[in-house]
Amino acid sequence: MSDANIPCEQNFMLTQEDFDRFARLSGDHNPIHVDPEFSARTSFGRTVSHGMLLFSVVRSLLAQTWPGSTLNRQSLMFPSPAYAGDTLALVVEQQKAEGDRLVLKTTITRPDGETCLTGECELTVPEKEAS
Amino acid sequence: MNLDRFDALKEGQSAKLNRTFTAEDVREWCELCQLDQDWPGVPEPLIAGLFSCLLGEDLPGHGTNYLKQAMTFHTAADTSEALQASVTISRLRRDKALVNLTTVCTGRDGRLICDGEALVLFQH
Repeated sequence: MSDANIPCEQNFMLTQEDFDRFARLSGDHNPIHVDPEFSARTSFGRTVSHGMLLFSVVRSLLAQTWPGSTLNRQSLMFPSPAYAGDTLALVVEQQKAEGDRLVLKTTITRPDGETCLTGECELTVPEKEAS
Repeated sequence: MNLDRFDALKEGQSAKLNRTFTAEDVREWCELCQLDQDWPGVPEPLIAGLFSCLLGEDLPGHGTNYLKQAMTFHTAADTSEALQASVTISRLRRDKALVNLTTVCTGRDGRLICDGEALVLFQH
């Protein structure tokens, strides 16, 4: 881990209100995200974040760290659900830098160590930003 | 494992939705993820959200467990641009209750905004 190149990281917490807002924005009103009573009867036990709300937090941090960059491609995996009220840790590691292209690994981890999101993306950064 | 609903799925089956994002939607998204920037066009997670909406609500539908999504972004979608997102079943693996789908989003005049692949688990 000591060799990891970590350009940015962020701890954050999502609320049920955030789930509700993303449901309105995305049109995805699946009860597993927005209905606490329904969700209590599922194997999850409570509502879970939309995967793409987690991706939104990732995308926001990328935009803040590399303003004006372009996202060329993104892969995402959602191994475990993310719950409201948990402190989630987002870590961005640089895998590769070639010219104006950066390849980054993104990971969101729950307090119990389970991974909620893991992904890889490629950004094109403006010339003056490229290292 | 109940596979009645899985067995109703067919390779080649697809679902579509139309959506136009407004500048207000984009402001709302920026506020939601605490981003203090003007965003040119439609943020990629809102495009991705169209696929997740189709997968969770339509094909395969409720009970879908979203495992993976890969996307290539070809050009940024504009606000006020009429978008069409579609998901199409490309492979069914009954022994593991897995469904692979291709995911595509196009804009005005059919221009390609994003394409990619999704993998979901569909069992009950």
